[in-house]
Amino acid sequence: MTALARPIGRPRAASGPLRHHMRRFGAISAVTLVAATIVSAFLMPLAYMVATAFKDPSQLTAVDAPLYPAAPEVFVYQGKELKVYDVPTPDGTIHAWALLQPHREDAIFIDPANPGAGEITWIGRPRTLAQHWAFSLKVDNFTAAWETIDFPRLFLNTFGIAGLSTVGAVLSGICVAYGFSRFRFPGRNGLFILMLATIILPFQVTLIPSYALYLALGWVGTWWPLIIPHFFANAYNVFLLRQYFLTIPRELDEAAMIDGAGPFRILRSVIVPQAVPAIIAVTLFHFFWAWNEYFLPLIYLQGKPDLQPLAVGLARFNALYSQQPTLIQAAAIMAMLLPVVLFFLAQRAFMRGVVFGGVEK
Amino acid sequence: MSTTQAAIEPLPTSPRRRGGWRAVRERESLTGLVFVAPFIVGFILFSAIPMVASLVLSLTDFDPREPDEIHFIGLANYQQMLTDPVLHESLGVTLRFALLVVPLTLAAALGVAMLVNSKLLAGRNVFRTLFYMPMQIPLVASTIVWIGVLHATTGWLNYGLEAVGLPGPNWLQSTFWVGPALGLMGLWGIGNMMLIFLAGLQSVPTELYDAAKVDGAGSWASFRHVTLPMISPVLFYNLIIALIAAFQYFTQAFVVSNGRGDPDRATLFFNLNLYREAFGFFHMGYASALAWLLFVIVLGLTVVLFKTAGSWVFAGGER
Amino acid sequence: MNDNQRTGEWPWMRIPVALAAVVLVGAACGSGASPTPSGTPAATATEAPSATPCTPVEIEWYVGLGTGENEEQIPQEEAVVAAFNDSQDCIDLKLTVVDNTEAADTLATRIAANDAPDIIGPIGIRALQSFGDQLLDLGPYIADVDLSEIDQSLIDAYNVGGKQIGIPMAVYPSFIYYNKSLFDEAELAYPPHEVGAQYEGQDWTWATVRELAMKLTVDTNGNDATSASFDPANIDVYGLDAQFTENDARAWSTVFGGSGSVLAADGTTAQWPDNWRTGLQYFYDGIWKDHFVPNQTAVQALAAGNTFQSGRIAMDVVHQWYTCCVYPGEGTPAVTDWDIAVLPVGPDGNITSKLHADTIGILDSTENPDQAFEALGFLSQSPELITTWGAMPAIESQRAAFFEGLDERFAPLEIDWNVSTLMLAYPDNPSHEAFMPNFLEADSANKDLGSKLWTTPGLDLDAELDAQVELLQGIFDSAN
Repeated sequence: MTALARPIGRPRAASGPLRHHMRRFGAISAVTLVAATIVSAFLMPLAYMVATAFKDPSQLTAVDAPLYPAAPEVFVYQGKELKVYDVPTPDGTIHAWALLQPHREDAIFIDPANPGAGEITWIGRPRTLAQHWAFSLKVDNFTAAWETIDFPRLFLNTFGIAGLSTVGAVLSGICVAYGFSRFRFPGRNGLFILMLATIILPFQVTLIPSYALYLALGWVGTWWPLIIPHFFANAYNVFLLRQYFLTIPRELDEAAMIDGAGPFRILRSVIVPQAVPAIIAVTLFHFFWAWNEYFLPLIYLQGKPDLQPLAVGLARFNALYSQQPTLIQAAAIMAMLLPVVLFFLAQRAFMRGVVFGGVEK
Repeated sequence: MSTTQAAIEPLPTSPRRRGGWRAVRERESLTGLVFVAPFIVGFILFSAIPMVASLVLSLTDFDPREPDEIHFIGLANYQQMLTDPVLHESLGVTLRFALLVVPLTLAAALGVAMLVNSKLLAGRNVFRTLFYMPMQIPLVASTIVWIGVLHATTGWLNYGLEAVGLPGPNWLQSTFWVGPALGLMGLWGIGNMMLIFLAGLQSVPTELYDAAKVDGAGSWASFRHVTLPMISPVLFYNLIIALIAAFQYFTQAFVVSNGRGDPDRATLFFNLNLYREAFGFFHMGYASALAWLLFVIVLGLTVVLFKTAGSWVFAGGER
Repeated sequence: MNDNQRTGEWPWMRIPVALAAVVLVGAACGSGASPTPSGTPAATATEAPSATPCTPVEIEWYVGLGTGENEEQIPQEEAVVAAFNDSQDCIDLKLTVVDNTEAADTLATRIAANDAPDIIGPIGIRALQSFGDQLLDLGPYIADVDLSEIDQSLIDAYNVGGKQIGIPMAVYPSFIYYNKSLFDEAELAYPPHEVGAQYEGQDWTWATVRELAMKLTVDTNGNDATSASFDPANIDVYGLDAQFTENDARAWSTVFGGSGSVLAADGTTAQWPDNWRTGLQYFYDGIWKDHFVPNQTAVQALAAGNTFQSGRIAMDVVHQWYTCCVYPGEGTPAVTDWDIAVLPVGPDGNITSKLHADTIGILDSTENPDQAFEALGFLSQSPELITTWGAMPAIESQRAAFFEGLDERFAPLEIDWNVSTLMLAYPDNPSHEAFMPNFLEADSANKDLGSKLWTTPGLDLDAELDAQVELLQGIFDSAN
């Protein structure tokens, strides 16, 4: 199972090193280009998200606004902010004039270069004119979102909930998956199906009994309902780990057993090192899922804004009668920074674990 | 290849000296149960009661606002399901969606995984992170983004389509196009599957590819005869998870249609209908029956897949 | 289903009549009433001799079923709760705010688990249809409270089967919000602010509004909707909207057609009265034929439903509570100069200003009803909350202060709030939110219809409405 990593660009011995070099470079460029195109199309909505996060809300509904974050160019005249347009005059020149009062078939402008000249009446349809927009990032969206929902506190909350829940989920998932994949015991298949059953039943109908249960335990209004159950293994993690454990050859177990290792030692020194990619995957999946979990934290932490995670705080900008998409997206971008960085760093370990594991066959 | 029954007793000492094969198997059973114990305990503590409760509720007329006025009505809820046209419509919506989205996302995830697995790709770390990024956006925020992107007149997708001369449909208001629109949104959720496929792809021994090449196999043949079988365990996992997710599809449909299943019930997925019954009309008893109907359907499908898995899923360490 | 246990005769029809009476009674009593509210439980509480120290009782106030959950209102509510707690020792008031989309199911979950909050509100009539049976009878509490400034028939309207489930707190008439800049651009006169006034020599009717709206609707080339070269695919400004009516076919029918009911006089037969058909047809043609009303796709693009705030709607029929959200949050408001105007006369010959009303209720599962009532009284009188909710007080003598608060908020604009008071005299009767058998399902069916009309051109409205009547009849019948 070794993957021979061939370093890019190192020339082979013997004939035509340069031509091989260039062929390989060409192939790499082609593949990278294709990948870049695909990922750009794939992430187009993300670009929309970032653009929205930097826009002023009025730009979202303005008719001829550019796609990039921009502010209308304005000219202040007698205390009023007038928008600047490109106005063609009959002699063929185009002027950058500030609109004072539009009408249907004519309009009154002020020339910013010569405001003393007073009002200029222009005949034409002002709605057909092109407005001046200047690229402008509204960083205020981020500061407003940060302050309104107390971002630092919610960030810590989210980190705590997701972190603790992930620790429990991974540890218990490994144990239970090991049990399912390496041992025979009566009712094994039935138990496995039972485990899957817990994720098949829609949560809406177990919500009330679960809530009553946690209420009786005194856990409503605390983080516990979001953390403790994960210490008892959940089906997604166990299922994945079990599938992966099944691909690890039994000879490794046997080799360890011959050396006198008990089952727990085998788990620790044989299975886990072999399964590092799957374990990292499960860790990441669970962490990111818990990071963005919305509904259960909403239910169990209602009335306690100091304990809520980011996903719940974000919903405050999505109120029924006053949705604020710019703030939602700004907050969402800030909320996803940590997971993205975490992923970027973790994937090296993810890939490295695969390369160095394995048995010579 | 995996070892056979001969490896049941790996220790060199004779089983007879240790009390026989049965003792060995009992020890193995016990150990296995010990490891699985966290799940069993957790199930008993946190899942069993709610599940049983919901089953019992499905035999009643439970209204959550009046929990003391509950009456046992037997199978009346289940009988009602037989003649409920909205339920049948929601089943149709869900099935059609599953048929569209499950193969689509599996294929896309595998394709992307192979792409970022390629040694010919420069900056693989960056590409992997980029393809995974949508999984890290809070779901409500990303659904709002998609609603904006899919807008008929101001959405970027239609801007792009019109730029190349194609007509941009009214994605979210047309009963025909809203399904594909949700499918597009589903493509954003391939991150996890891609990662799992990557793990599977990375663990395919390169000697097999070399051997295939020696035998004269082209890339398609080597994909079919080396890659697919070797990643079949993870493919199986992704298939099951995608299937369950498709039948449980709820949040995006809820946000896109304001909880109503618009346009004209084209987004009234099974779980959305269930939610409406449970918390819109407060027919919690009927909703519980619906939940168990879904349970039976999905569990049935899952069990069938598991049974047939033996024939196409290659498990190296399975016993 | 538990509908047959519901008392069923929600006398919602009585509310608008009662409110009309409030106006008349209030006017007759003159403005002799003192500016401070006299008949309030809070005033009673401060008079009560509570010299004995008490252990604090926790009262939980649940917000989210109506207004109150957007991120500008939350700090106000928190401040008011803190002030209340500081001012006395016996009650520890806790605030729980839940997003509107999850508020009803979260509350139902908690009720089912016997973990219900104490006070819920502000709640409108629709929330009362969901949770009305779970509210506490306030009769014993208001027996010795002076509620003389609220008309008795209004109080009676919240009395169901002997249970007084709420004290009317706020009323919200509807009227036309109009964007003055757009009128200036079109060089058209502003709509009238007086009942009976004419508009440019014509009676102020929906037909006149239609003509006006079409002149105000303009495409990106500057053609208005009366022009032959109008391009409906590229509309810049729409002349008319009725935002936030949530696809409710009954509401739209009432706005443009006048009062009506889906229930015939016998209380069990479904119908869709003629004036409602006319009203819906007006609206439907406005969207798809004359193009002066935005359809669902356009509404989504206009500030995600808050269309007036986008600055591209000239006239908008909304309620008083919309003052909460004309400028949601900081930032450059696209609508800078607006005012309000009276509604026109409908096809039934009357002005109909559909009415919303809010109250705060106590759930009957509460363990501390006395303290809950005290807190309720405080909250429903708090000037800060009333301003942030846009809650026009049901008690007439408090309205001046309310409007002053609004003037401060919208300064330097001078909005003619008298229009709001004028429109209060023309409530819809029966209410567009009146009881229907199997209310939740019938309401959902009406919203399905509304959504269909808003997104699908080319429908035969009469056929659709006939089908709707059949559907409703089936729903009404299954309520037993």
